[in-house]
Amino acid sequence: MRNQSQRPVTARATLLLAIQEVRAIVSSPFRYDENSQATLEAEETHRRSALARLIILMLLVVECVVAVLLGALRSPPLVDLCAISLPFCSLGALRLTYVWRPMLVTALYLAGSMLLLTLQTVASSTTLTVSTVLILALLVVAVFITGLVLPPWAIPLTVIFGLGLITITLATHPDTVSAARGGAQSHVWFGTFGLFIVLFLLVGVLSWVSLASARAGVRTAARAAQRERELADLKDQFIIDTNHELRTPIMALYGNVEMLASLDEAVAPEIRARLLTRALESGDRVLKLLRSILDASSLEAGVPDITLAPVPLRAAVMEALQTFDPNEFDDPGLENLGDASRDVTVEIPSSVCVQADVGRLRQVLLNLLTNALKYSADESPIVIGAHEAGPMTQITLRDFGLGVPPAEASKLFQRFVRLERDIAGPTRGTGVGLFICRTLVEAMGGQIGVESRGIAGEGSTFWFTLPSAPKVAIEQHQEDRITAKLSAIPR
Amino acid sequence: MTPLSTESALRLAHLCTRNAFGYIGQVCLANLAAEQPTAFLTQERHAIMANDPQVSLRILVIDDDPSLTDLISDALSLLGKYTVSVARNGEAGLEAITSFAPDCVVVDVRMPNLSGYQVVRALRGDPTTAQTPIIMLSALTQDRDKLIGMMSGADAYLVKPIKMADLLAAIKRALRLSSESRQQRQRQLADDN
Repeated sequence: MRNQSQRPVTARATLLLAIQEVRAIVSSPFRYDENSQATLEAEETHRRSALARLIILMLLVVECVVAVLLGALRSPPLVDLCAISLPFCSLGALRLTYVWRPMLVTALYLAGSMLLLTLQTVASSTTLTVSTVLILALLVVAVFITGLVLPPWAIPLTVIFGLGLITITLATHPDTVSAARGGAQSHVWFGTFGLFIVLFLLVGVLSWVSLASARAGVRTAARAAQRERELADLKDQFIIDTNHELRTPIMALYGNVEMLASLDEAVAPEIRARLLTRALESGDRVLKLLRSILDASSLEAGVPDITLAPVPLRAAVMEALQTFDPNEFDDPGLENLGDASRDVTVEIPSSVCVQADVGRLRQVLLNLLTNALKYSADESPIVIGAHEAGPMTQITLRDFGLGVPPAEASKLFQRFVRLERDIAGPTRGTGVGLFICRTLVEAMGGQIGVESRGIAGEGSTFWFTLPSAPKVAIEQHQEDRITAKLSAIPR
Repeated sequence: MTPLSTESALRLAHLCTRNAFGYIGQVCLANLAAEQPTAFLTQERHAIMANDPQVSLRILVIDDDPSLTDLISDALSLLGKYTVSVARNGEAGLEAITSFAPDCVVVDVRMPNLSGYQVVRALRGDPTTAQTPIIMLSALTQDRDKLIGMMSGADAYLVKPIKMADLLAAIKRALRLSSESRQQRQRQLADDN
């Protein structure tokens, strides 16, 4: 805690520090530094400690005034001694709050004060005096202070203490007996005590509620701050990744242009054409990368523009496979696809229809397919299937690649999230693909998820649901299962 | 996505500029200090370069990105008159080193199979290639990445994007480095860290 470095030695230093602390808290209402590791809860505890010290400080001032007054009035020596020693006790307690647990010291201080008051009440005169009423009123203040600065468990303790004090006073007081017998002032007598019992309970409940509400507020704020911090970390990682992804094509773009500029006229026209083509390709790559980032930002900004219509699922999947062009994504992770081709098995009855936006459905399928290709071995197959689940149709895309650790599966669909493994690994990406998929699928009224045990070779099954549409009549019989060769189109 | 905060944007800009120019400058300075012309040429290379300017030195480029390897091999052969061979990953790179026997190696860091760091360590661990000039060319910009690269034994760590002219200059400097200055640099790095 921040005050452990400031331990006042003298009484003057203690007072000065307490006053300085109060001024600091008043002038800057909530000193929460988001860069520091200290949590909001710690800051709140710190503020309550300061408040506790402020209360002790105020009581100290009151005690000093009382001591001076009593000294002037020349009251009996014992009372005098008590009154003079009390400010010193308070000063000691104040200093203790700086070197020991401030809350515990404050609790002990309050308990001690109340005990003194109790003794005073019990030893007071035989009739209901002003001092008894005053002391009971002071106990109400004590309950309030407890709720203000001490932990929640102290509130019921204080209330029980106050109720106990009333019971003891009632039981030991000779007036109770006469009042019980129907004395002249019985209604005043019992009324006064009844009023204080109700007051204790009322103040206790109110303190409890306000304390609980304040704590809940701090917890909510702390959670929000934590989320903010996590998102900031993700953004930092995203900036690093994007930075990394942008550097290579920019270098290729610049380098090719630089060569064109530095080679003289004598250079063969085919070399010149080659350099130009490459510069343009690299420029395209930069544009596509920027577009995918902008795509993610625009999706973040609002619900994507979607027109739902019945779509024959199998035809949509086959169309996506046939027009699949890794260059469209220009995902560096797809380069290792090289000239190799992949077996993609489609197990979708041709009658199945879904309510979807054709373009967006294609985008989702291609994104998932790209991921499956990126994160699985060159020769491993990919299976795309679909089955109806109630009013929805579930589309699954299974690969036999690295898999997804179950612990990280839920985070995968958030913006900028990449697996720890992939951030360190050779496969590149920006962490926006699955976020785009989730946004689009949810906009079409479906859900998206992944099933995987995170075991390499066993792979993972990405699934998403879309509302089913009425089945279409099959014009000619087609096999439900078909295997297509997916090959990368050479650059 | 909420727009980038000014702070993040500044940091990004700072990262880019510092890495693109500042670090190259540092590497250049560091290498200039160690550089002393002809006296530090190894005997063999000195003989080749002195006797027959037509004989071109061989350079191996290890990078998994075709757009870069195409560019670099063109640049080195057209502008620098080097003979260039390309390997697409770390393993292929190590094989090419024995078959191609390059005079200098340009290697990327993030690659499938074997990372650039591992390639460099493997080369430095083998007595036959311990003195081969190595230049790392990476898009990883953090100081930590550079430090790992230099500690692995690279002669220079260049951050993408870099001008072809600068790459050629870095290759020339690395070719002139003597084994003494290379060892001295490694010792200094080890002492500093």
